[in-house]
Amino acid sequence: MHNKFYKYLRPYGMPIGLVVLILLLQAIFYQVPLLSPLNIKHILLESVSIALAALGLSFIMMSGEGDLSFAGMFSLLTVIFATVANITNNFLVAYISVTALALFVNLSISALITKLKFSSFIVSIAVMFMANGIEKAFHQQTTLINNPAIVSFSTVEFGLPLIVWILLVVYVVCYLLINKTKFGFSLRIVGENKNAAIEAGINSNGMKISAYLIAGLLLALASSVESTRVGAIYEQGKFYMLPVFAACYLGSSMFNPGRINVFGTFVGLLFLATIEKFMNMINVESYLVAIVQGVILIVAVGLVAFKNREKIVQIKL
Amino acid sequence: MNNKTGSIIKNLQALIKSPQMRIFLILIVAVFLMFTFLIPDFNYLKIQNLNNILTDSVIPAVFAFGMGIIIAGSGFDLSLGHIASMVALIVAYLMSGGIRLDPVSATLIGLLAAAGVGAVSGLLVSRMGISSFIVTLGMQFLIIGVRQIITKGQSVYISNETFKWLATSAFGVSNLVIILIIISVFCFLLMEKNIFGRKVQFIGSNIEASRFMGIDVKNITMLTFVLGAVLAGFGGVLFAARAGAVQINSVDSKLLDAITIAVFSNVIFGKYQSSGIVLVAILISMIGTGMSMMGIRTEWIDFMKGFILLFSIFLAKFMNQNTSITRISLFNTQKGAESYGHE
Repeated sequence: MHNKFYKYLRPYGMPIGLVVLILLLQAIFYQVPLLSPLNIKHILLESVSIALAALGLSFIMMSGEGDLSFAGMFSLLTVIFATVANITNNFLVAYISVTALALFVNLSISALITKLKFSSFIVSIAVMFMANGIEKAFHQQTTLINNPAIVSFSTVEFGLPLIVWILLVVYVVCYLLINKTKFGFSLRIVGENKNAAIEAGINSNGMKISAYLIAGLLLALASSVESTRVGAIYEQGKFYMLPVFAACYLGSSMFNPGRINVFGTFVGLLFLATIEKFMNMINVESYLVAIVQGVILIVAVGLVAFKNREKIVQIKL
Repeated sequence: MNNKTGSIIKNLQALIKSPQMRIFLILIVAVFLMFTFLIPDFNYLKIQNLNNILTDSVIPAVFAFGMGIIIAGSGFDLSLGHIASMVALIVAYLMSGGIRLDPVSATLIGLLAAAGVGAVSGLLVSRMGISSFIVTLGMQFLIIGVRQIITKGQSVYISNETFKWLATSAFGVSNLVIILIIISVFCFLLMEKNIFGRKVQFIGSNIEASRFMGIDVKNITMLTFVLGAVLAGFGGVLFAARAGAVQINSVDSKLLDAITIAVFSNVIFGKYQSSGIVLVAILISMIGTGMSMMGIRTEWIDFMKGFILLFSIFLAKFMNQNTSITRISLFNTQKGAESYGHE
């Protein structure tokens, strides 16, 4: 009986632990209004763009591949969005141009990976460096959007800010897409077992390409949000690399341990954002935030590896 | 003695006759001719310029040796640039201000710190079984935090003339070039003429088989990370000696050079090869110098390096190379045996 209960509870151990940790922090530092409604709104607002990028990465990782290119592409796309928006004064034109570029780049990456069987790691790291180079050549300072009508995209509120609503809707849609549709099952099978996918008659290349395209769409949305909210900051994407990966791996340690899942990514990301906000609120120096994020990533992945140590056949380098 | 010289000449002949080396030499000659004719007044051919190309290739090559050793064991280290920055900062800091340590012991302490960081990454990778990509990504941010504590964000100037001697030139050739020759001979002996290097390459090609053969996979994997970190740290020291001042993130971007050179050399020669790393470093330095002489802004050279990295995989496909790097897959934390090596 006890064993059964434990088995049932086990997938939820990690998220419950994280929530308890946050509550403990709030209880110890009771003078800091960490969990006040206003603060929760701010946490959500500040993590929208990272959350969208992390969701895109989750899709790619579910299909069994990986991606580093977003670290370079993200800041490049924000610059392009800000520049185009300043020239044309039109939100839609800027958004479409950013989306088109992101889709094109991710389509090329996925074509190289699936058709030519290149390593996704090397291809995406090369794309990351190339995007960094282009960004460096054109733009080395912060670009702000001048048109208040476009900036209002991230400030309009209907109870919650509009972009937070968008984030929630996107997450719900993606959750349903992954867990309730044939597409989602096929995608997960492709990532889980290549041979089973072939036996089941699933077009694994097509699945991988569509995962990359969805990630491109989400990255374009993320960069538009970032651009309207804080402006295009030089090389910001590099600093998002760790939170995005940490959210995905932290997410893979809960709900469905060992596998990347949408809800886990969301909870992992909220945890990271809350911790960061907490450290900002008690005026910790910025370097400590970096150290803590690094430790969280290593500990999260280490926990997953440790939990599944019987299954580990060999060292994975 | 005579026999030994004969065998060295035979080795060299075999090296030049190998098809990879031929393609590579054609590539170098093509790049060389292109820039010779593109740049007016044959400025590219001047001795001064050729000397510059050689000197510029030294620091990236040292980084690439570190990365190359780690890649040979089928790992990856994203934190090499940050480790080098940290070492450069430590060394500069120990020699300046109130401490005024002598250059040798300052360098040794810096390299020891690098070895420590490498050992931690190596331990996490080999004992815990965490993907090396994740460990080193986390390590990057740890180092960003730690070095901020050391320097409080300020750059450190180096006034010690003995230390700067590392980057001066004697007899027309920079001391850096001599250092590169020493390091490449060391890496050649370690990785290609020693049982340790053989074991690393064996682990890189098939980790499971090497465990069944009784190779101490865990410790050797950890040692590659330590070696890579120390070499990168030494690259940071050379950078500090050359630049005369160390900013907090001045060496971070050398990660791009390290990855590009190490991967290019690995895919074109199909395995770890010291001579390959030196030659690729010179090729990339040739391209960089040529582009800047044509008036192209330095930012585009970074783009070019990323492009070369992508191009090198095409080259591997074209040459039918199947090395650990062309099928490296570091994103899976869960899948052991099938994550790489088994198609």
